[in-house]
Amino acid sequence: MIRFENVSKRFGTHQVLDDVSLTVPKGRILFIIGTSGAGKSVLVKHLVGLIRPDSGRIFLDDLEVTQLSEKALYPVRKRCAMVFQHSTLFDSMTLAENVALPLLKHRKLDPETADAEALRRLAQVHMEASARRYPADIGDGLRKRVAIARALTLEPEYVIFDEPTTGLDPVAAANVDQLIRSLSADFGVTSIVVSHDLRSIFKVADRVAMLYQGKVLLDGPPSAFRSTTDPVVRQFIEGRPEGPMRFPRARGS
Amino acid sequence: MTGAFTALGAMVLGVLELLGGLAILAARIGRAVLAFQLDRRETVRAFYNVGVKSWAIVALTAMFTGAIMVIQAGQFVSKAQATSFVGWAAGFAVLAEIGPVLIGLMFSGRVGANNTAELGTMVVTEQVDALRALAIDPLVYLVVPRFLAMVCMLFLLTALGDVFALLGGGITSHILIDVPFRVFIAQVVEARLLDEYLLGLAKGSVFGASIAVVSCYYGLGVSGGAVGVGRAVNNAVVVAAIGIFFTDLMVGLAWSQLWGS
Amino acid sequence: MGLLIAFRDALGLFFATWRWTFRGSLFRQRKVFLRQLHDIGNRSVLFITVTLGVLGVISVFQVLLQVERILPEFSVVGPAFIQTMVREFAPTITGLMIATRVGSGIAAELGSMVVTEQVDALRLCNADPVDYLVAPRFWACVLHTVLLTVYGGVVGVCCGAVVAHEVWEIPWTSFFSLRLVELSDAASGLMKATAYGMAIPIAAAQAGLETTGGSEGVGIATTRAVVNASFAVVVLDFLLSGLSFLLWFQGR
Repeated sequence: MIRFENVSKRFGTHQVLDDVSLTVPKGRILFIIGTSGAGKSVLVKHLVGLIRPDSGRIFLDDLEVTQLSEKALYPVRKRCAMVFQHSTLFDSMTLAENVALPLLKHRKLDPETADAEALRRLAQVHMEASARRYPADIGDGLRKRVAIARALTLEPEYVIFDEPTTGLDPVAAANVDQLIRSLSADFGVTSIVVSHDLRSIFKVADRVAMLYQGKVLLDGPPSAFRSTTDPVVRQFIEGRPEGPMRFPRARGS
Repeated sequence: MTGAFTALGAMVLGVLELLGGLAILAARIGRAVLAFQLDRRETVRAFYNVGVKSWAIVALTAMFTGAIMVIQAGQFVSKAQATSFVGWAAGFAVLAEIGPVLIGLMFSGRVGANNTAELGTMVVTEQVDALRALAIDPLVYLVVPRFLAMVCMLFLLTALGDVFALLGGGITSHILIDVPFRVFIAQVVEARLLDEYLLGLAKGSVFGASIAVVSCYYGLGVSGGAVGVGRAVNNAVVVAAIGIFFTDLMVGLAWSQLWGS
Repeated sequence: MGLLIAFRDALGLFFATWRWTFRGSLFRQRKVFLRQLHDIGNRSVLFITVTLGVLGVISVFQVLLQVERILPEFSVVGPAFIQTMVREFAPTITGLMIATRVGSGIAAELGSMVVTEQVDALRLCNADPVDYLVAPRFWACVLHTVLLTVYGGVVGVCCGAVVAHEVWEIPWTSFFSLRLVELSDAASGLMKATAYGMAIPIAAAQAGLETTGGSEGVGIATTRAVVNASFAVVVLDFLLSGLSFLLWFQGR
């Protein structure tokens, strides 16, 4: 179970998160949606301690993440993986080395075993053919798949996906959706997915939360989301340029 | 007038903040090194990268440095009719002082700046955050191997560079000031400059450490995309140069206190 | 090999800069030129003061430690130190510091403009980057290198004199003597400063304008600028020292 309790965060004068509370039950998939700059990435980075909240508490099962030191966070991060928005593969390593790195560091495997395991992981995301190439040699969408494979190598109980399907073609996006679904159904993995992709939401999500101006505007199952009468949420779903939605100020202004 | 005082105050605060940040980073690196926490593969890679990138430019710079020192010393000794001193004078200047400093400055430009750019790019593209998210400590994984590589390699490169510098000096003295190559080398050997050579090597290692800490500090502190990386590299080489001159002074003073008189 | 290609491109840039200068680039870009003058000076004065000051202290200290052992008195130390400062250390160390401070700055600035496509935008307006960007920086850098060399030399000599006076009790008047400095020394120093002042912005601008790819590219360009500019200073120092030795010394 993941629980955010009254989390607030401010960068300079800009209140990015304002008293956010959310709960994800074990084995479920929560989608977080919202306009660009609504604080979605900031919220999920709190969970693995990459960003510390100004106030509020965050729990992973019964462990309060917000209390932990950087060192004490390392065991947490092995259980809770994160797929970054911009895939963040290590430029200096081949794709296979990228995936093998967590195995070498945490499972203490010897290089050959780790490499074989990495190839197996890459095959799961259909990337085994490019295993010896470097991140700069492949496109954004492919990099994203490798980043997912890398995040899953330690078989985490929790996974955060930051826009996993953005920039992917429809078939690849459907593949990722299926992967997220099966992690939850087959392995009981609890996931948080930050996404703009409305199609994935209705296919995959158990629960949807919309962030707007740093607050949780709506939190419920996809059906509730579809039938809502809230004008801001309706504008977002229908993708209309005009409506009540106000856009966030640029960061730092 | 108040404007000037505000600017001065801001500058003093900036310098203090920089020194504090460098000290904290140095302490953290020191603790990790003493605890022998490092990634072996990354360390091997760092040694290789640092050495391969810099040895050629260091050797070339050292050769020119030796040559320049012979020309400069040559003007004094020929005037004083004391060409037997040229090996001693040029050798002394190169081994104890100019050699390590110029090699250090070159190394800072080549390896230090490159390190800042590399780490800065990793910060900007969130690769450092990705490491942390994979429960890998960036200090142990990225910084410590580079630190060790820079300290050891600048020591070795100074040792190697000195040889090239004497080579360059010998060739120049042969051509320009009528002191044959072999005579020049014999003069250097007779001058018993072992102390100066060791002093130069000590300086090399200290320069390596200060370049490493400064370049990692600026690299990890990058913010603001491509422009930020450029600015960080610029600051890193400037502060590293100041660091080289100051540590040069410190090591020189300490050396003369320990072994002088 | 990379160095040779960079050298060829830098030479091209050097001539292009002169060509644009003769077409009145500085007059047209006088605002940019004045801003560069201000920026480069502002960025470097403190840095030059610190580094050349420390250099003066170290050199006098080291030299006197040695001279103590072989000479009975120190009256020659000041004049000889000033002479070496004038013809060698003031221009060269100032040059290296400017290569570090200003060279990397120019490369970072131009590199950032290349990756954010501002340079392409200039080209689209039919404006030549050499005219707009390089020529003003070039002349600002030449002027400043010469001025800062003189300034740095003075700082270095004064700091050295303090050490000589405080530690070895050499009288000020004996230290501050120009009796060994000849016209040829001054000419050699000035020649070096001018040459460095020209080489540094060209090496830096060449690295900056050839930037490719995002933030990584800017980092690489800045690094290359520092290395190429510093190396240019060292090579020019060798060539010009050799030249002035042959011109003014060996003949006598």
